[in-house]
Amino acid sequence: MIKTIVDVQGVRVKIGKKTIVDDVSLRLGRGEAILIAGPNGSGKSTFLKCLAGVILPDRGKVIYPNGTTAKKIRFISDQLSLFENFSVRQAMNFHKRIFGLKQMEYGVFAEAGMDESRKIRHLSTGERTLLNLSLALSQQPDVLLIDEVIHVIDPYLREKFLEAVIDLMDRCLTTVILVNHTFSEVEKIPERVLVMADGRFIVDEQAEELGMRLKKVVSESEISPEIPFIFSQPAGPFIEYFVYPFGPEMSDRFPYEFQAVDLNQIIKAFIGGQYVQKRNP
Amino acid sequence: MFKKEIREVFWQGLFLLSAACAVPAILMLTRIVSGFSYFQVFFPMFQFGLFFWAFLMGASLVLPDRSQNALLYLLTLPYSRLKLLWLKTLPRFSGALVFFAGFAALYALGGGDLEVISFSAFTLIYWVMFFISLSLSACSDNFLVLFIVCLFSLVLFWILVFWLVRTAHQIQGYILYEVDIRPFFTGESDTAWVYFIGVTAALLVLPLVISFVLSFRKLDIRPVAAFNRRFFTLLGPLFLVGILAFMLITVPAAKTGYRSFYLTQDLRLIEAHEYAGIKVHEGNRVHKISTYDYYFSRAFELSAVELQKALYYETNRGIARIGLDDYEREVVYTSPPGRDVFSWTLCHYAGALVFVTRKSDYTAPRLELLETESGEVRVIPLDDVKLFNLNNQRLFGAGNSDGQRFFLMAHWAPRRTRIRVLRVWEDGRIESIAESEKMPCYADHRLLIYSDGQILVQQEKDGGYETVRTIPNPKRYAFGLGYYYASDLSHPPSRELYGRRTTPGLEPSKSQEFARLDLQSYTIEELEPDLDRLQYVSGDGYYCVQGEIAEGSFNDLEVYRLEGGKLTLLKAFSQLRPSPGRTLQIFPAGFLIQSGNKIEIYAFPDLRRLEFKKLR
Repeated sequence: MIKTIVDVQGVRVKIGKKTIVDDVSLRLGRGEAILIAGPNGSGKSTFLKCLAGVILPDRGKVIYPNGTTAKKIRFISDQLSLFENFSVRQAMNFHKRIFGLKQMEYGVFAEAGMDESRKIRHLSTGERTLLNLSLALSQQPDVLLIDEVIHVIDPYLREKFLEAVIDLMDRCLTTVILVNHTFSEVEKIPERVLVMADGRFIVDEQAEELGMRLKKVVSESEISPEIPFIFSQPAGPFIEYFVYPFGPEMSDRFPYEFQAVDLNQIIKAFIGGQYVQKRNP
Repeated sequence: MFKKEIREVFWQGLFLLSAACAVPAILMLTRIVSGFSYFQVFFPMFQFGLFFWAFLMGASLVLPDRSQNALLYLLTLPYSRLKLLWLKTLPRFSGALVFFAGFAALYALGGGDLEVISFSAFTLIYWVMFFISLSLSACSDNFLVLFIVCLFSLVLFWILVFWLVRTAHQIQGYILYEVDIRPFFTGESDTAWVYFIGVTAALLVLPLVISFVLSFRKLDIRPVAAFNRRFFTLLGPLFLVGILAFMLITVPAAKTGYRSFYLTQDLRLIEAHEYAGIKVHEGNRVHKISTYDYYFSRAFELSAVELQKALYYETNRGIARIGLDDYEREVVYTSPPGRDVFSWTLCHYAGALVFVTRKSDYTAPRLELLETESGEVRVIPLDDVKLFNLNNQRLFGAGNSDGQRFFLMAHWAPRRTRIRVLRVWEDGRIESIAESEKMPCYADHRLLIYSDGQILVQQEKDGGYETVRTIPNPKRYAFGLGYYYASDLSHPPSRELYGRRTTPGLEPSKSQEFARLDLQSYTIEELEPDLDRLQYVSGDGYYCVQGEIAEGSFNDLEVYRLEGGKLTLLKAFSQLRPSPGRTLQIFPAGFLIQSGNKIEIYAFPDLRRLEFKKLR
């Protein structure tokens, strides 16, 4: 039984008059690796900010039932927020002091060979990301929230970083919650996939199960209306149908080849389906 | 974290200080400003710059973090919002305090003469600016917008404060003449007035600060509009609470403004408020009189004359009358342009008000008679009298001879050793009738003048004054205590006069030796040396007030009846607290004691306590 590390209870967040996160409740387990996907503006980042405590819900609450304190939660946002007038060294020392860290983990950052005397405002987006990641890893958090930043790092360092995250999960049983649009690069990580649309989670499944419950059918013509699909798209002379939820009995009943798809395609199908639904409500 | 904030404040302070020091130096080196010392240029600029400092200290709470894209990082630090607020506010408050202390030190070291606005006004505005900008610090992520908003709020705030001050007085039932802000800035306001404004300002700043603190507990990285919505939602009701507190705490204090009183012969109490109007208390009733007069209120008992069921008093432009039957106020005399009524010279004799007027430059004195029945005014120029200094004259008696009224005036010139006694006739004649070494006295148609250790008692005879008695006065007692400020120039018959031993010359004596002059036997009787403040005459009775004066108030005040040289204690008051205004006011009909906000009135001769239910 996985211990709950985050308990989200009926969270609602509004920005202006628009509801961005709408009555979301879920539990996240200790050591889980979670991927949150969804179309742009679906509320993924806002939800992550709620978990990080930088946005306080208008309604509901985010509870860390095992007493996880802010010292053990790290959020790497797409804003790459740090005190910009600090040098890298100052930022590291500040972080070390505030979080009471014995030592800093320079792993990924050291790989990049960056000059610690540079001001943060002079760093490139990739360098800032690395610095943020290094600060996060040094903290050895119980919960690591990563919001769409991985793609800005070059492929070499990205791999190093992902390795470091996996290592962190192994060593510290860290719960990693990831919002990313490029899924191929993080495919190794998630165990659980959440898909968000219009402020709500429409999918919450284990990645493995999801792979079994979503299949692709390529057909020249429209498939039987009895087959539920979430998205279809033309593929040359054919049409690709993403069938969900797929049941094994469908293979016996229908004369189609139900193909397995990778995580990238699964997410794409859900997101594409949302856009279609928005166009044709 | 705390260190980081301190460092930020330190650098900001260093920058401000450098600018405050450099700008005057540049102005002087480039000779844009010349003819002043460095400090003379520096101090006003520094004072002005501190307003910006107060703003900066308040406004820089969240703004730099927002503009540095660091707010999100800040909110992920392991601090609660309140701790974060404390960690950020304390260094800024300290910064504001250190600069304020520095300013106060410079003020004490000579800057006081160079201030742009008074210290008290500066103090209030400085701290209000700090707290307003602190409270609004999260309301915008644009420095310029925040600065404009804070400045605008500050102006609105002070408009509201002064409006509330005005309202407080109106609620108290006073008819406010105006809210004059200028004295507040120039430092001419009374301490009580400054406290009043300070308390009002504090009550209005508190809701802002509380709303901010409560809103800050929910500060997040959403656009500022979300914060503002929360802030203003809280501010609305809290501001109403602030106003309510103002009504409950400050409004009752409106009466602590300087008040002056007059007790009429028929024991009605007239109350004049420093920056309000006049009320007439009559038992349980109170009559309000709409008036813009305030000039007299500082010493109503000295400037008011009660005559024929009316009270006449000096205003800044002439003389006004309040009818004690109809409570109507009217101006009975208006000074011609460029001419004023000389303060506290209002007397009366035989149905006429008598007073001295002079030009604004203190020249061309006139004695003027205003017939209260007909309203006719007679003007008697005193130009020929060579009044060297109008401060050195006093009307001290009046009489009637051959159908003509005359007025006795004592006049002394600086560096002169003798007082001239003038008789001014209503037809314009002026006679110099005597010279006296001491202030002459006129009692029961007898003129007492002093010469060479003697008292000459003179009476009118054949159009002049003739000495009818010479009384040896080797100790140079000057009689007439209690007569000096009596407005009734006819002076009712009296059997005795009291006097104090004096030194040669005209300087006031501080001697504690007193004597009684029997006006029937013309004998001088030396008294026990304990008649400290023997100066009040009511009817034919003397009253003596004794007590130690400390900070404008009396301690352990005792009121005695003085008769035949014997003191009889009538009433003792202890532990009187200083009051805004005058602690003790004595009128022909009685006297009034103010201790804190408590007012007690006693009537002569038996010191019966008078109750006025609506007097608070």
